[in-house]
Amino acid sequence: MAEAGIATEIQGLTKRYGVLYALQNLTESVKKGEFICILGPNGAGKTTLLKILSTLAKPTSGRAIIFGNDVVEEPEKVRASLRYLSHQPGLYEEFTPLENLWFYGGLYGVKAGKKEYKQALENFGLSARSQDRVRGFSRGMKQRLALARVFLDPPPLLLLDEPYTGLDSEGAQILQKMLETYHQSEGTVLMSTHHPEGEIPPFSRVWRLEKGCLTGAPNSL
Amino acid sequence: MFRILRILLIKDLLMEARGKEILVASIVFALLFLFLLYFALPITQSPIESTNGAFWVVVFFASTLAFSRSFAKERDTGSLETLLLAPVDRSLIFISKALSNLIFVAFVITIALPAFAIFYNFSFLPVLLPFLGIVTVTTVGLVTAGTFMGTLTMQSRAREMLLLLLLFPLLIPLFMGAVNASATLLKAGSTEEATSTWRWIFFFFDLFLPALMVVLFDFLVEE
Repeated sequence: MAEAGIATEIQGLTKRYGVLYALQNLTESVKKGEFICILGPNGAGKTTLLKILSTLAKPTSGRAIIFGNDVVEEPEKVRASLRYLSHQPGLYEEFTPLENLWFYGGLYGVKAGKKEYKQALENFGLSARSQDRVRGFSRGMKQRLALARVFLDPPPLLLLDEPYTGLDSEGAQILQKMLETYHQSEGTVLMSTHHPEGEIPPFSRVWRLEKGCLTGAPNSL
Repeated sequence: MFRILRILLIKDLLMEARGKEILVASIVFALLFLFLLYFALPITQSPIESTNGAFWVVVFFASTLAFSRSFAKERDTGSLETLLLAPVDRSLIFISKALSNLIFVAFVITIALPAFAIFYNFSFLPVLLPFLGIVTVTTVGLVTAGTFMGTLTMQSRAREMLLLLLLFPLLIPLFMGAVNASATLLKAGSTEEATSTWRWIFFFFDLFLPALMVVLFDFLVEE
């Protein structure tokens, strides 16, 4: 049973692909409202960890519990309590940004209408392109749209895998501001990055991941 | 449940209406294949068997284009993760994909059937309704198996080839049922006679197989 005030609990989490261990016996917990930055080089297991927490991958052994729900046993409840931003923006390129938000909102049961969709696009500086097809967007614009989607009526937990990828300095500032606002509203964030400079908010706690292991005690910056 | 299915179906149809990746390719392939078969098959000796057999070969092969693209495109763009992370029963994702494939294959058949009638100077009209019944039950089975195998092979680099290698052995009973039932119908004109032998094959592909594949879909898409 999860403790009150705990957003995420990981117990002995291990993930193996064949003979390769992507994660090895991870045990940690995240309090509600905490901002966790997961640092580590390429191949450290950051994406695997976030995929398991999001229910996209199953652990080989161990448990992960999100707001009291086991990611393997109650995946639908877990998915309802989080949003996951992956490496790929995961957008429909034949759709306009507004249509992408409409589809996402409908599928995820987001309580929002056209007004909120337009506001989400405005927040990420995409209003002028709201009627254009995503196919013609640059990588950075696609990332902005993917982020606008994540911050559309956000649930209590965000899992962000390298969210600054492709963003220009203006996009990065917008994201920092959105993360601050979300943190102030008691939202919990687990964010992976391998470029710590300028991407880690001062209020965050840092996990260092190397070769699938948490190295040393997690610490605050 | 129906709201989610409607949203997923609208998404697939709108994507196809704009991208035109599946339908155009399938229809062009079907017509080209039909054209080649017209010259290759000696239809003068047994026109019903040849025309009927050629029709089913074209439908089965043209459909595989839709099956190989449906989930593979979602995977390539990363939008499959968006679908899999939605707080909904994942079987709805499979059902919606099968429904959109059913619409695409029905569209291909709607174009191919009159083309066959024109090319082969052959009329399905005297037995049109029972013939469409056999086409419908065959298409449902074909689409279910095809969508599932499309899911199974989507992660492979050689997915188009792998899909053919895995799908067609599974489809052999359905293909035999479709060819024989429709040939019997076209020759004898009796629905009862046409379907009596192959009824259980159609039951298996239209009822048992969809139920099994809906259950197995979740295992296929997890890492």
